[in-house]
Amino acid sequence: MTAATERQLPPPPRKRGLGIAGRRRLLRVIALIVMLVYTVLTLFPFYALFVRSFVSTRDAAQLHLWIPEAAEVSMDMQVGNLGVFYNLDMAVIKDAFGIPQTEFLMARTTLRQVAEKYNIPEQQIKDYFEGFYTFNGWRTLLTGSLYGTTFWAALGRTLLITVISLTLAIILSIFTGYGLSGLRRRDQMFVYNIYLLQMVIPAMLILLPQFLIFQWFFRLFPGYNDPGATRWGLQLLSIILINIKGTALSTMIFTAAISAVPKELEDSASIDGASSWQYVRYILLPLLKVPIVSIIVIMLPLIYNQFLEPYVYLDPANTTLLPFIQSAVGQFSTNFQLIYSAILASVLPLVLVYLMFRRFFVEGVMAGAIKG
Amino acid sequence: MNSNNLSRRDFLRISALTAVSVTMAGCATPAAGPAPAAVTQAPAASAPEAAAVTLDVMSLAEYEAPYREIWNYFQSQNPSIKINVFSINEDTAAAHEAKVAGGYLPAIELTQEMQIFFDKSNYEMAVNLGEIPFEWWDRWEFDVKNMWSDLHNLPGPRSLDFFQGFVMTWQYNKELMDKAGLDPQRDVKTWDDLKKWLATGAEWAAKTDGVEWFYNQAWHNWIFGNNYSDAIPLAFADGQRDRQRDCWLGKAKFNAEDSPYRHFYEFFKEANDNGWMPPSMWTRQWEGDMEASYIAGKSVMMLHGPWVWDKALAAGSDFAVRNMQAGLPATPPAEGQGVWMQSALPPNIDNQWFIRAGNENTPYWDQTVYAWNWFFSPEAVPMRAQAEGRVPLYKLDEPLDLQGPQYQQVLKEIGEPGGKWENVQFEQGLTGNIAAGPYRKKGSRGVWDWESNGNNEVFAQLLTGRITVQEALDIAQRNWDESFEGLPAS
Repeated sequence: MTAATERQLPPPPRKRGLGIAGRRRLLRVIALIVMLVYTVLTLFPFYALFVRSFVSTRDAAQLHLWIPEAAEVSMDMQVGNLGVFYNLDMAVIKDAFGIPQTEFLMARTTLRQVAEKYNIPEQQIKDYFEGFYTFNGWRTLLTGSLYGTTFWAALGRTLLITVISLTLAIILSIFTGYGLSGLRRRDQMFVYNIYLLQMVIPAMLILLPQFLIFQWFFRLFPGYNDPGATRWGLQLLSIILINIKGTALSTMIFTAAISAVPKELEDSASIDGASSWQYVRYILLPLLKVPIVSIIVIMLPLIYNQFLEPYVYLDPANTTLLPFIQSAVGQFSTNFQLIYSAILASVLPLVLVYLMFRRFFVEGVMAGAIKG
Repeated sequence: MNSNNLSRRDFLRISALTAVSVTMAGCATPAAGPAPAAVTQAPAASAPEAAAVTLDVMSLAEYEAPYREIWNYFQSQNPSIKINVFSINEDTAAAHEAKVAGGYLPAIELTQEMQIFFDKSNYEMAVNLGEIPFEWWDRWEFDVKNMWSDLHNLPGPRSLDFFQGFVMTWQYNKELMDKAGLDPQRDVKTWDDLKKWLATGAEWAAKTDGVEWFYNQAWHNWIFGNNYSDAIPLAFADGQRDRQRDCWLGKAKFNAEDSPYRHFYEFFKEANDNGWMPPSMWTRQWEGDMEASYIAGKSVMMLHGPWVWDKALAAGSDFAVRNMQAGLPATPPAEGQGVWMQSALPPNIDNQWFIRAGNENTPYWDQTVYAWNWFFSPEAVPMRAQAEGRVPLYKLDEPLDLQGPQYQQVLKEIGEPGGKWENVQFEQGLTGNIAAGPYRKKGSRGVWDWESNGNNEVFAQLLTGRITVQEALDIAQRNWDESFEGLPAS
């Protein structure tokens, strides 16, 4: 080909579109964008919750994407109304300003009148309520008390109940599953199915009869004049017993998991001289890592976020997180700032647990997924 | 397996035996609790001398802080009686009652959130207050001791209250009203004026940024069933309470051409069709939509009871703190009605505060009676009246300068010579609902079917044009036919 013909040839056509590498890059970018959008959507409720926990109830009806500017508590506010809206106990206010508890703070008394009557500098009152607009929710939650208990005590009880309930439920379910996994005959399967039947019974339906049984055994109520520690201990024990009684779901999971373990394994362990306990402890238990993690993932939030039973079984001063939060809800007056703060604060421990043990959860779930 | 091992069969057998044993143990006679104290006549004037006790006392959820302070004061005067103040709301009422059914026994309770109305079907759940030593019967401005018993022909009373019944008045944000260029206190003298005012206000709100509604209305089954249905007809000559009572007592028909309740439905239908109130009103939440909008200064006015005046103050709403809330009596007279009537529900004789039966058998019965007496004493009544901002129908030792904003702005001057509302009259006679109460069948839906929120569906159908006012009245009549029996006149 001469140089002249070369010059006459049209240039090779440019490739239209992207090459394989380019397409991959584009897909990666799209995937990244989708994931980012999904992340934002997932995290937005937490963000909204965070912002709302600093928004006064007065402005609860408005949309806020950031913490609004604080407003000062007016000296013309009436103490009764302040108390209603901000869950303030007048006894605490009296303590804060050195007013004797034998004095009665009439609901319609304004802060200015309180200052005048008890010779309190107005600035002292203003200082006390400084930041009230923005931080009332967190302040009440972290330092105040509702119905004789604090957020921290309620959180402690919740964690105690959750840890004990989960541990016992898993142990009991493993043993129940171990017992039930050997059943093969039709009549034996009937027992198994009866056991699982309770999964379809709503907790609400048996709330009252169940409560009566516990009342019968433990005499939870009436009894608010009985020694607190014993009664409160029995109330907490009731919740734990409810959580661990007939854990049908976990039993079903463990029964299925244990049934999948070859019988020969137990026989060979037995030939090697292992007792039943040793078989369970050293052979079966390590094989149950996946169902144990699954049960924790399923039951942890259920127990942690339990409302109905603790509300019914526990004294308000001996309560757990959700009923504690609920106690800030009025008939028509609700301190939304406190509610949002409390919900956010109550979610955090759960998120922390999941973040800390994420590796185990993922491992557990993946182990189940790739099992042949 | 060696013989020390537990077979699955043995494991199950032992488990079953354990379960049976525990169940049988549960069926055995329970250990006796502490012996109840003998029912004694507690001296009411001074605190019984006994070991310190704790009493659980329910509070009105709306005014829990002031009520807590009232009991704080009681405790400071009576250190041997500790009071646990608690309150419930509509969401937790069922759980509270489950707890009570299981044996929990608060000392003093309130029917409000549980929506208990004492009648022949349930009166025995409460202590007969006529039989306990109570010092203050003669303080009431009505026959509180006998009214309920006389009406129901049952031993009682079972509950106690001293307030004038709830009063629903128009309540508005005066700053916004001024911006709208309206002065209802000057311009609204008749029912037609009211409607013109609503129309003008709605027009203004529609073209004004930042204002959601002029007349802000949402749904509340109890308010529509008990208050609005009673109040609205009072604007009309043929809607007065005696005529309403006739319907309830079987002397007239709810669905007659001249039914007083025709005005109730017609008003809301007209307000809906003309765009005076928010569309789909029956789907709006009372607190979350209506009250919150008013408190945030985004809507102008509501037909409401006393507590949102306080809520706006409590929330620190600028207009409320600047004393820019005002109001006017609910029902200016329509043509042919000579007098501007203001509905007040009659004093509560079948609900409110009660002592649940069983308390008389507790070791702390004396203290309960003592606390009960104090709660209704001339010392506590002014505290409670100020807390709720409501008028006590009770003879006090000293005149009460009631500070509640609804009272100060509207109620105070009703019927007062020289006052803003000197020509307005309270209607606080017996409502038909209460008069017919003894004859209502247990479990029936009642005329308005408000307990199960059935009235919501009626309004939904009426305001969307699926039924007419006449058909809504027919439903009311049908409900009445099914719900009442044994009325003397029927």
